[in-house]
Amino acid sequence: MKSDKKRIGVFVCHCGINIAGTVNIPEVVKRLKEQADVIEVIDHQYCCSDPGQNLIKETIKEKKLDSVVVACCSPTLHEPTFRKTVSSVGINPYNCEIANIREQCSWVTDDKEKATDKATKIIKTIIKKVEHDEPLTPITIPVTRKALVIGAGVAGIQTALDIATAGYPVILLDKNPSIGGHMSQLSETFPTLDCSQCILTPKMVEAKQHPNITLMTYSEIESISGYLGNFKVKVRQKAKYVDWDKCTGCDVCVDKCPKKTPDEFNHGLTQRKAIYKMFPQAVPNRVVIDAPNCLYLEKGACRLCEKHCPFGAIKFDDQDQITELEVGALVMATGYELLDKQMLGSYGFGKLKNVVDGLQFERILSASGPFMGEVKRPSDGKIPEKVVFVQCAGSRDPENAMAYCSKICCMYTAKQAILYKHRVHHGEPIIFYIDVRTGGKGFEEFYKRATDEGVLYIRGKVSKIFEKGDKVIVWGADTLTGKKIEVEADLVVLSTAMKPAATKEFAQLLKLTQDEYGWFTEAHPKLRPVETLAGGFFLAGACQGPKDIPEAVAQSSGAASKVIGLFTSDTLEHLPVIAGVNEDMCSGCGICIDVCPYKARELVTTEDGKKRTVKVIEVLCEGCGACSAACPVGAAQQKNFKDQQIQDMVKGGLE
Amino acid sequence: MENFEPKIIGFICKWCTSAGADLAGTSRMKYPPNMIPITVFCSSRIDPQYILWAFKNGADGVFMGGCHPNDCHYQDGNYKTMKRIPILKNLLKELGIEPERLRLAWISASEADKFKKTITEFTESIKKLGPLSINDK
Amino acid sequence: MKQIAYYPGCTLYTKSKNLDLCARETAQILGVELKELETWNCCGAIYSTVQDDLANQVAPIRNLIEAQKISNKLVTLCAACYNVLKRSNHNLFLPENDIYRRRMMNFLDTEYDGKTETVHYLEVLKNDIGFENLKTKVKTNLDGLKVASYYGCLMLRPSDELNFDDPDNPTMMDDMFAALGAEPVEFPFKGECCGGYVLVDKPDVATRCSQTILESIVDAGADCVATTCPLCQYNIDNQQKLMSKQFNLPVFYFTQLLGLALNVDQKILNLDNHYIDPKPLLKQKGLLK
Repeated sequence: MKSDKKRIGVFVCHCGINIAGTVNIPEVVKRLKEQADVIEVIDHQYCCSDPGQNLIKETIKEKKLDSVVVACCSPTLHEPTFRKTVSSVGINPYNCEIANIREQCSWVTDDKEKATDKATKIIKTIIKKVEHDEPLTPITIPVTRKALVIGAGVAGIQTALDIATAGYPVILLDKNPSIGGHMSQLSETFPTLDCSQCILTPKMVEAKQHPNITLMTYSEIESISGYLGNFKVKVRQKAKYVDWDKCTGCDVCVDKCPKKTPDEFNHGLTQRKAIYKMFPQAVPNRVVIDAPNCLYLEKGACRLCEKHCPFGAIKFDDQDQITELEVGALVMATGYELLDKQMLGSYGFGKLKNVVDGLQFERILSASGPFMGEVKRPSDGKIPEKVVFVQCAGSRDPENAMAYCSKICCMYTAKQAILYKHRVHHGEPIIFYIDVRTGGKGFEEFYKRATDEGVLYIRGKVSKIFEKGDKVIVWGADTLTGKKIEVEADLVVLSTAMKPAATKEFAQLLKLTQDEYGWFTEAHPKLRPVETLAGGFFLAGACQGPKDIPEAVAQSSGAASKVIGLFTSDTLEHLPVIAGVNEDMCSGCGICIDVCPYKARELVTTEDGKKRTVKVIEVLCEGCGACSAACPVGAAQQKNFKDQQIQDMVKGGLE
Repeated sequence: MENFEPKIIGFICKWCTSAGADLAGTSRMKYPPNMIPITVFCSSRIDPQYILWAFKNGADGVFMGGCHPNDCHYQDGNYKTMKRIPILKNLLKELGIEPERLRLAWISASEADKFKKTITEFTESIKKLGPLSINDK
Repeated sequence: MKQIAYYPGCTLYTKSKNLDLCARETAQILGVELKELETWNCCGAIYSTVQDDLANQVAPIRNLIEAQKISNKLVTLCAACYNVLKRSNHNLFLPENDIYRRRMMNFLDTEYDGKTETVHYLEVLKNDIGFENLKTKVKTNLDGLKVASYYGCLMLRPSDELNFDDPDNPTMMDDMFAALGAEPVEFPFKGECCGGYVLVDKPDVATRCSQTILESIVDAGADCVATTCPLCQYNIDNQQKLMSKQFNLPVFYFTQLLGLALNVDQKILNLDNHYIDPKPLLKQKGLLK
């Protein structure tokens, strides 16, 4: 502890009227001058502005300050700014602290007098903290310059390609046997009507052929440990029962396999075999055996695939393989799923055969789909003469499903209606909508094109869908005429809501936060949209919220550039606000070792061999302070969050 | 009693509750300004002694905010808090401090509304309890 | 024998005696006594949605208080009574209705803690007696009878307050009929409005509503309809004479078919109190001599 007193300066920011509108700043300054043990208290309109920062610098020099408190907005915003400012004039950045008197004071109360009191007290707590702050230097840690991208849809592929092209190795992982994600299921893309597969497959092949990209398909994350720059990830590669080094993807086995099961790629509209390739353009172009459906693996008899494989690639004794990866950064590109139709009771619970969801209709429209691009309906293969599209099926519906707008449905519904009209010229597409949202390049024009090409838009929600004979009856309202509408349709397409594919368990495994619906939470909704609060984890694509393809791709390149930025140096600075050990006080009881979540503490014998004490592996310490609270003698002290400091802060807040 | 303004110390974790409090501010939600927040990295940093210290130094109530179970930024810090606080509450009873004066809540970075409601409700409840009697002696 | 408080309501005392008597009798056979409240008054008939509806709510709440003398459960059969009684209790004990509740208690000059749970007789059959148990008590198996269970609107909605069954896909009555050996028939309008509310005002609209429901029931291949609500029963049965299509489809109260399966006396079944005579159907199916 320093014997001589600190020379503390306090700078109180008005933030225009954001703070000064509620907090009486002159009064705060006056009280601090009277009551707090500080050298100088100055207020300024905008401390974060250049003149504001210059004022701080000048005052530091003039008053020979060694510590600074800035009372302003949340430290998440300007702590780095002011720490840089003070260090430019020779003060250790960790001797500059922020008192949050905006988000947690001026913005949350209208009572000016009380806000002034509260602001003064908050500043006092921080002054108390600064009194015992030590100068700290960041700890340097090495960075493994290799990235792991989880999810190989278009977002994951783009991220991997960008990082790989910058020269860093990438592992691109997907739970399915092939990369490609949902985009490989789509027919054509709005608003240009490019064939989805035609623009995606070159990227898939590029990813496979890129020397810096390693594909790990049919794989899932088992566990993860480590920290920014130094993660250890265990990956489970599911047993494929096929030796992919020998398999050529010739499909002979698929033809011979006798067991059929609903095809996930076609969303149950067709059947696939127990040994299968996800889709013809699959990358890697290999087959896998789906064990629960395989007659041999389940019942012990068949082996037809083995018999007919020209390359001897079938491997019934295949096992799941655990691989441990060392990577420096992870990018989440886990994407979305559609809301289960079973959630939508009044739309038939998913029980009605001729009520399909958006992705099923994409498959119906797709040239490689169940009807080879001819529009037919699932129940009897008839060409539907009248198709009703129901937008916002589960979106913007807080009572039954999701409160949010799924964003892509207006456009893809318009696209599907146009494509339907192109294939069935005399067909009648009818779209029920709440609002048509066309915020995007070329979107409004595309919507116009749909109406011009004969798509009927009815503004209103559909209340009920049921079968009558071989028709699907749709009840809805036309809110523009105020009339009840009944449509006898041949096929109904529900634009079901997008929901995140990542489960809660998956997020917990990775320690990432999700919002109430399960979308991953970004570090800042506006300014840090591709980062998470967990260091080394980045977000790409629709795992963060509903997005269309260009947005997902743009975000993916954003995430990639963050990873590349991280990899430009082979070392990183680690926050020095870690917990240490006072060896003289430490009794070597080891309680702190048990409470440390990072295994950053270990029991050692002192050099003279006289006593046991605890050593801290500084790089591993994340500074949670659990050990400091647990230590019975106060030997474990978190730097700049020492017992004395917190107790003084409490006093400061109560004076 | 009507005009009693309780003194409340709030130990809140940087990653969840403090971020939730920031969001409440950004969303301009209003709640009573009695609580003075002390932001630490993790709720597990809070030694129960600090809470007693706060009561001893004049606090009428102490609020603790952490991440939801399973969401702790430090893996399991909040579980430590979850165990410590009930034990301390038992102890408070014996010290003649109403256990209701200590409130623990899990508030995530997105739960501004929960933060507002919890603080409002807690402040009201402390108002009803009145000043901490040990402080009169 | 287990006693549960029972609230018949006005219609069950007059027009829908068969709904009432069959319920009492079948409950007796199944080991439960539906004990009628010593005194009761109108349920309120329509759940009031006006701002200050103290006067409207006094009626249902008084019945709920009266039930406390017998049990914490109050059984009712009429869909409208069920809807009004259950929602009144729910509404009265919402936290935001503190003042309103105090006014109510002052007016009634009593204390009531909201403990009376309004249950429908179907719920008693399902939860207290059990459909599996019911199966063992069947004397006349309803084998071969295709029944369309029509729930109507009042039993199901608002679902978060009533919490009776899935409003989009109710199954409780269907499950009961399955237990009696009958074949439940699926149709899309189980919870659609029969139009009963506008029967007097706009009979054409009401008739159109019930005709749509009947059409889909006939399309689904049902022999008859079963309902819980006197208004639905009247509207679907009696109004058939006004419809543009003749269905000749018998409309039962569910308790009548339950009584039939449990061999309840014909006098109690009261099969003559129908516009479409159900006896030929039952005879044809061999369920009636």
